[in-house]
Amino acid sequence: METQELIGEFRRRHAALREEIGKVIVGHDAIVEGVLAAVLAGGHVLLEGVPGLGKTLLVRTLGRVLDLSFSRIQFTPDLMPADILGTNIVMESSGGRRVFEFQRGPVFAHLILADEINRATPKTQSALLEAMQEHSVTAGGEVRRLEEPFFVLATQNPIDQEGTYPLPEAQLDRFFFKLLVEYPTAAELIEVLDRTTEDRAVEAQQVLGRDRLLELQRLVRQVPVPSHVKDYAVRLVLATHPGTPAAAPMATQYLRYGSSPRGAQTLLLAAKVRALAQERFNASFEDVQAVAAPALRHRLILNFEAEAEGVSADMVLRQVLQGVPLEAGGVAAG
Amino acid sequence: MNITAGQQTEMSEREVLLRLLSRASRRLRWRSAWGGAGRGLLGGGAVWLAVVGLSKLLPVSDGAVAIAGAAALLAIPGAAITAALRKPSRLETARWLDRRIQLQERLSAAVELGEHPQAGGWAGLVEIDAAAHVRDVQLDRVIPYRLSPAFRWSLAVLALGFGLGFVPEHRSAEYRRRMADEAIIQSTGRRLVELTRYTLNESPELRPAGREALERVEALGEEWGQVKLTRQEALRDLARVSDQLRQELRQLSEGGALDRLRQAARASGADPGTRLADEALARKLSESLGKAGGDPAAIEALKQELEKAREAARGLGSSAGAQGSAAREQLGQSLRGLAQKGLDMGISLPDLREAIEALASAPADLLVRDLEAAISDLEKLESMAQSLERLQQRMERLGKDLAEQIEKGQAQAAIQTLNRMSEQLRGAGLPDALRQQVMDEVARAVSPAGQFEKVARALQSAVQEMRERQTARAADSLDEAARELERLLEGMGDVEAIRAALGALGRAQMCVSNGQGWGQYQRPAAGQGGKPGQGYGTWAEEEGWLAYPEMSDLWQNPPESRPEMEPRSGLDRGEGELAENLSPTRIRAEIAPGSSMPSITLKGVSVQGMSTVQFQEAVLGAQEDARNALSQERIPRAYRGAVRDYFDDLKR
Repeated sequence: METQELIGEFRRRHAALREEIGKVIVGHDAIVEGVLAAVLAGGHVLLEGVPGLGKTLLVRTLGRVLDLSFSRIQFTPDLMPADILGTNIVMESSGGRRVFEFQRGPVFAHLILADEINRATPKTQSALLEAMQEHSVTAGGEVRRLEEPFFVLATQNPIDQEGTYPLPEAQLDRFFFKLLVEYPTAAELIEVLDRTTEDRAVEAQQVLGRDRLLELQRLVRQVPVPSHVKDYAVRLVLATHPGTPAAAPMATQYLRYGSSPRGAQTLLLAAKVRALAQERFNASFEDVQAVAAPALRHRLILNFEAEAEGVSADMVLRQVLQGVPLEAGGVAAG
Repeated sequence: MNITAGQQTEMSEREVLLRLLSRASRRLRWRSAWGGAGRGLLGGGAVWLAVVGLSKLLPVSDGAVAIAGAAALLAIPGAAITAALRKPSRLETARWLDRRIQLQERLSAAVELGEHPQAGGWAGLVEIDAAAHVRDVQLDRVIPYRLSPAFRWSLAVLALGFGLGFVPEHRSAEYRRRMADEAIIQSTGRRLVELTRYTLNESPELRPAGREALERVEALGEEWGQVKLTRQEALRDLARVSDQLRQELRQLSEGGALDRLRQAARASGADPGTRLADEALARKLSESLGKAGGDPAAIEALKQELEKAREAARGLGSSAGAQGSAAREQLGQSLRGLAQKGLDMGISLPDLREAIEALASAPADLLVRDLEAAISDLEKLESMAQSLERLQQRMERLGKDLAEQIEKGQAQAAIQTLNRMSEQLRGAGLPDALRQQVMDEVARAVSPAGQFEKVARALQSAVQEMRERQTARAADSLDEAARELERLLEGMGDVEAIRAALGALGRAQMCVSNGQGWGQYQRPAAGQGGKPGQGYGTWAEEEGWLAYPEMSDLWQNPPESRPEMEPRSGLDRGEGELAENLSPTRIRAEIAPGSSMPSITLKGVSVQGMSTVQFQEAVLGAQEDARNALSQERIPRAYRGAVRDYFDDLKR
């Protein structure tokens, strides 16, 4: 398919996905947009919000509109890594011989819903590290590839809730986006009530198959990014590194660690998706700025001072965005 | 991918983009230059304003303000050219337009991809997208040429600068005084140089010592013209040079011998070098005049009678017949009487004789012409008689013998007398009587010559040698005395030059210390034409003749001799002697026989009522005023001694 056609296909599919998800999910446009951007860029999403805001429903709906295999893993404190990845069990063959056979865990699916991921112990949480980064699982000394596309959409409750374990930084860094699910507005809540308390069955239709999704993911990576926009993304990431010359003052004051290079990758990929979704052929400063918060907020590790003063990563990011100029030396002409 | 179709589109769209970028780049460059000019004007104007403002508070030179103004003007094209020199690249222009018209980096992406052939179809897509968004862009609206804020601020700065021009400068009293001092010092220096150069040019006979002294003053004046000095420094310089000159003066004045010679000459009021010439001239005149030589009145009377006869001769033309013959006869008798009278006076009048001879036959007009020639001869004789009379008056003041000549400071006459005596002594067969006469004359001169040590010694030796009949040695001694007098005479020129220089320095000192210009006249208490009587000891003037601001050498009076005009400096107090014809009352001053000068009234002001100041204070104040008047040469030289004596007497 020609690039131009593919781009048109992307826009149509993207709009269709939004429409289908919108049939089920009321409001949360930014969350839906973010999740779709992560899916189209091939990244994992961490959804954070108090229980009952529709996080799980969103992921389940996404699994439905995408023609992909779907697994749901309910993370609990007693959940073990093998419960996720799978394990070798002794099986008796037809010949009566007993052999070890790998029993695949729920991770072997295209779309994984890691529900309440922070309720599991760090050991179990870490079981997803390899799968998320390498798209493979090593069990019993054997590496098993996961089928593409592979997405992990995790939900978590706010950390200060009872019985939760904060995700390790390495794990957090592997998420493409961290999306904060807010309470619905009054109108949205009314709509939720209408949809869920009346005799109305709304079903989302399948919109996108596996192959087409992979094709669109490749298309996203072709979107050109002007060099000065790329430079801007880099400077944004550098501005989050505390104690460096490029660091924003607030970053130096309130951050223990800044964003990893994955943050810069995420910025550009997400900007590309946004550009295509908005019917443009190149990423812009605005795209980078729009995706900066979900792409970087979970990569900024706050220090004690920030926590003591109630400074959030989003507050630091706002200052970084304000402080970093679009052009490195200003616009020379004029 | 349909590359061909894409490329066809790409070409046209790219052309649109490139044309837009080219135009935008040009407009940006012009606008940049325009903005640069505004910034240059603002910057230059700010500098100029700062300098102008500074000049109102601090003594900034006019040159600095002018340079700041020139820099402000040059800053405009300078900044404009500098700004225009930087040509924005295509990519920079694209990025600028992206931001300006919010193209979301479409243009810059298109430019970047257009430069990378490997971008493939994406480049075309981006260019199409960008071209679609810029197709309706009007660059004159996007990049308008309008006055930048810098221009508006510049106008405010310039207005402020011009406004500042009307604000009076603030200068401290100390600064103003210093500037005035510097100006006065410089002008005084110039005047010193002018005066000294004039003196040097006019006095080629000066000896090296005198010339060097004057050159020192000239150098001081030149230094003052070049270097800015404070009043104290200038006064210090003046004091230093004055001390040096006084030192030289002391050395040159031969232990006061020159002063005494000068004073003696001045007291006698005679020109020391003219006696012999005067005698010769008088002899010649006397011979020419005959018996009537000493009586111009008799000649005048004779002339008047001749004039009457001439009038009578003119009447002969209209008379005829017997009456005419009788008139001719009467006129002939009269003329013959006049001729005889002339002969009795020793005057030969050939024209008169011719007239008598022509009376019988010649026409009347010829007779009148002869008579007029005779009258002309008589006028000449009268003039000669008057000259002789003046010469005799002057010769009366000259010393008759060596003693008087030396006493009266008539050095030139004394030298001639000594030379004459020397020749007589050297002559063969000198009679004893003549030797005795010479010896007596020289002996009489020893005492008056005591004021000139070497001269007196030489004369004493001569007397002794003549007593011992060693006439040749006596002649040598007289020669030595003459040489010594000559040397003193030569030294007088130098002394006078140095005194003049000292006078100029004194005047310069007064100018600098009083803060007045060289020729500035300032009355002590009242202004020009003001009422007298302000303060005490005020000098009033009746005609304002004292207010001549400049040198009194501008006076062009006819007399042959003007003692008060002799070169004397302001510092030269002299001995306070007045010429006999001068006294501090209303006088009709005779400067020379036959001439007069305007009357001069010097009048002390009478202050009515009780004095409000102590007598001593009044005396001190009056003395100060008098000193100022003297130092500023507002008192004629001839009166200075009297003025000085009067105020000095007040001390006692």
